Amino acid sequence: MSRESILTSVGIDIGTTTTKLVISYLTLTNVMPGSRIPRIEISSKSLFYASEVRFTPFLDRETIDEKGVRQIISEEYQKAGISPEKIDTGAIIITGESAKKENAEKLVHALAEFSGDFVVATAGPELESIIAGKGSGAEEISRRDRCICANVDIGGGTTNIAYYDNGTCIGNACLEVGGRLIEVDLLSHKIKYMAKASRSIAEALPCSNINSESHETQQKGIETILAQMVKSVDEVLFSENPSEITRVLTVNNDLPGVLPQKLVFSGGVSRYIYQKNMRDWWVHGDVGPLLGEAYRMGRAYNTFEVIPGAETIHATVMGAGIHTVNVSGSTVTVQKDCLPVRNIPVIIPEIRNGHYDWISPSQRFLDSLHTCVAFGIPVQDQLDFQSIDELTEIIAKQLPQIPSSPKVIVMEQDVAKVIGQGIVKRLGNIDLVCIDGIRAFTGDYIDIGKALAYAEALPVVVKTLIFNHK
Amino acid sequence: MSMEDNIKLIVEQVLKEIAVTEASGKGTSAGTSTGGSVSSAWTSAVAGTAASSPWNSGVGASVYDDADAEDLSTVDLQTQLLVPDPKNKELYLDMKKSTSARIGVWRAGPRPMTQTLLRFRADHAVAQDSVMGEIAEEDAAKYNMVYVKSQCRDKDEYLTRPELGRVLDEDSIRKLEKECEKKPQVQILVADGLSSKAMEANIPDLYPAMLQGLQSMGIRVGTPIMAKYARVGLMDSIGEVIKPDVCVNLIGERPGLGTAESMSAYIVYNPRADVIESERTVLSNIHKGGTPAVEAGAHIAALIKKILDAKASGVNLER
Repeated sequence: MSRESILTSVGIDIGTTTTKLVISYLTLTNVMPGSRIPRIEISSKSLFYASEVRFTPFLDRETIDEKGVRQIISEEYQKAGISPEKIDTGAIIITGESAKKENAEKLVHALAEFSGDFVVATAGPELESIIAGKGSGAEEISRRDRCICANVDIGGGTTNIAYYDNGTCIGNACLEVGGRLIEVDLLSHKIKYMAKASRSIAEALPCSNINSESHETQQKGIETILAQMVKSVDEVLFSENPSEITRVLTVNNDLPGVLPQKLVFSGGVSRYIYQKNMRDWWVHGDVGPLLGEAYRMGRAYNTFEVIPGAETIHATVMGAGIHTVNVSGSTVTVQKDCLPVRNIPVIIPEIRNGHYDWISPSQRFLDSLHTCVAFGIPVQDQLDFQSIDELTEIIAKQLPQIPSSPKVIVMEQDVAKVIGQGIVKRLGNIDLVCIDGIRAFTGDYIDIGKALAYAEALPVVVKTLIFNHK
Repeated sequence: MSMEDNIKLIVEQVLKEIAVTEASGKGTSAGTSTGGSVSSAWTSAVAGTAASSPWNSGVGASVYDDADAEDLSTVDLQTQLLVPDPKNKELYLDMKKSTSARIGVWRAGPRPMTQTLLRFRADHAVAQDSVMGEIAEEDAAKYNMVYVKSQCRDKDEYLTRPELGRVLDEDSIRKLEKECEKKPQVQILVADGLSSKAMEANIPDLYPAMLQGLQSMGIRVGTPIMAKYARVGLMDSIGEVIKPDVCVNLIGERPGLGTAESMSAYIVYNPRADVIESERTVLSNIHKGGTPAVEAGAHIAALIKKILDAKASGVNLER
C-alpha cells in the first residue's frame, strides 16, 4: 500500500479580460504512523502547467463565446499533454464582469463537465475574492504572521477584497473597479469604450462629456475617474461611510469593521502597482497600468504594510486550481456508488424542543434545483458514546423524511464513522455519505468527489458564500 | 529470604512507626516526625527506597495526609505557559496546543523550575499507579464479560515473567470451555495489560461503538472476555480454546509521561498458539489526546470487517 497518491487538479479562470488555465499536482499523504487511524493531508502542491494569458472571447459585449472558451481549454489541455479524463479535481471560475454576462451561469456548468469529471463550477464575486486571496498567498500570510491580511485583487472589471484573520476569511467585498472599464485606442489613445461603471463615475464627476473632449482633457478626465475609483476602494477598505459614487460601484460588501495590518495586491493590475517606472501606459489598450499608478497614490497603499503576493495575474487561477480542494477525514461512512455529488447546500439544524431539527430548514432548499441537501452537525461538547448515540437516533429519524438522495451528513469533529455505522444499524444500507473533517456553515455549498485511490478519504470542496459566522 | 523482601519488610516496619508517631503527635510535620522516630542514617536510605519502589506508594499515601495539596497532574499542561512575558503569547499557546511535549516551561538557571520538575514526577507517579492498578471480577460483570486470568499469580510475577502473561491458567481454560460460544466470527478480549486505567477510560465508549459497528455490518460476535495479568499474546491462547475467525485484544498500553490512559487494539485472523507478530494488525494511541475512543471503536469494527473479508491480518493484509 502506497502512503502517497497524486491528484491532478485544474484551475480555469474566465475573467473580464483574460482567461487562464493551470494544471497542478496535489500530493496526498497519510501523515499518521501505520498503527494509527490514517489522516490524509495535501502534503505538497506543484504546478505542472500554466497557460499563456489568453483573451476571453466574446460574441458581443454581453455574451461570452462558449465555443471559443471550449477551444481555448482543449488547446491548452493539448499543449499540456493531458486529457480531461486525467483530471481528478479542480475548479472553473467565471470572474469579474464576465460573471454578469447573460450566459455565465449556464456556461460555467457546461464547461465544468467538459473540463473533467470532478471540476467544480463556481461564479460570483464572493468566491472569487476568497480564491484570489488563497492564490496570492494572503491567506497564508495571515496564518503565518497571525494577523489580519487583506487581499485586493484588481482585474479588468472588478476589484475583489477579502480579509483573512489567522487563515480564516472573515469578510469580502467587490467593487466595479478595474483596468478595462475604459478602453482606449492603441494608437490615438482616444477613449474607445467606457463600461457602465466608469460612465456613472464620469457623470457624477464634472467630466460627463469626456468622450467628446480634446486629447489632453480626456487624459485628465481618465485620471480623475481612476482616482475616484481608488478613493472608493479606500473607503471600503477603511470601513468608512460610503459616498454616493462608492455605493453605486459596490457589488457587495460584508467586510467586518476592522482594519487589516497587511495588504496584498493581486490580479492583472497589481503588476503595475508593484512594478515601478512604467514606460508605455497604453500597452494593453486600457487603463490598467494607470489604475495601478492611481492605487499607488491611494491611502491604502500608503497606510498598510504592503506585501508582494506569491502571484499577481495568476492569483485567482492558482487559487482555483490548487487551493479549493480539501480532504475529508479518513474514517468516513460511504455506502454504494453515490459519488460524486455537486452543489449541495449544507443545512445547519434549528433547535426545536431542545432537539436538533433539520427538516424545516431543509424545506427552503429542496426545490426543483436542489434534490439533495447535507445535514451539517454542529460541534458537540460531549463525544461519549451515549451522547453520540442519542444524536444519531435524532438524525436517523429525520433522514428518511427528506427526499434527498444520497443522504449526506457532514461534520467537523472526527465522529463520522461511528455516526454512519449507527445510521446503517438503524436504517439499513441506504445511499449514505457521512464525512468529517469539514467545516461548513449555513449557506455553504459543498461538492464531494469519489474516494481517493487507496484511502477512505474523499476530496471535498466547500463553497463559502457567507461570512461572520458566529 | 531474598534481599529485596528483607528491605520490603524493614520499610513496612518503619512506615508503620511513622504512622503511629503521626497519629499521636498532631501538629508536627511529616518531615520532622520521620527524622525523630528513626535514626538519621536509616531515614535517607528508607526514604529513597519508599519513593522509588511502587509497592510502597500506596502505603505512603495513607501515611502522609496530603489532602490539601494541589494535585499537580490535573493542571492542563497544554494551556499552561510558564515563560514570563513572552513576545507573542498567542502564538506560543498555539504551538503548545499542537503538541503534548513540555515546551514553554521556562527554567531556573540551567535547571527546570520546581513546578516543572514536580509535575514530571507527578506524571511518573500516575504512570506507575496505572501499571500497578488491578482489575476485578466486578469490572467484567459490568459488561457481561467472562472473567479470566493468565498464569501469573500476582502483579510482580506479571511484570517479571512476560511469557506467563501470554498463557491462560487451567481454571480459565475450563471456564472458557464452559461459558463461551465457540467459533464465533469475532472474539472480543478486553485486557488490563500495563495500564488498568486505559481500560477504565476507554472501554465505556469504545466497546459499545465497536459492537454497534459490527452489528451494522452483520458480524457475529462471541461471548466477550475480560482478562487479568494479560499480555498481547494471551489472545493466541484464547484462540486455541474458542477458535474464532478473528480475535481482537483491547489492551492497556505501557503508560508514559504524556498519558496513562492509552489503549491499543490488536487484531489477528485465525488466532492460535503459533501466531507470529507480523500477523497482528494494531491500532494504537486510543486516548483523549490521540484517537478518541468512540471513533476508534467504529474504526476497529471496519478493520475487523476488512480482515474477515481478506482472511488475513497484519502484514498479510497490506499485500
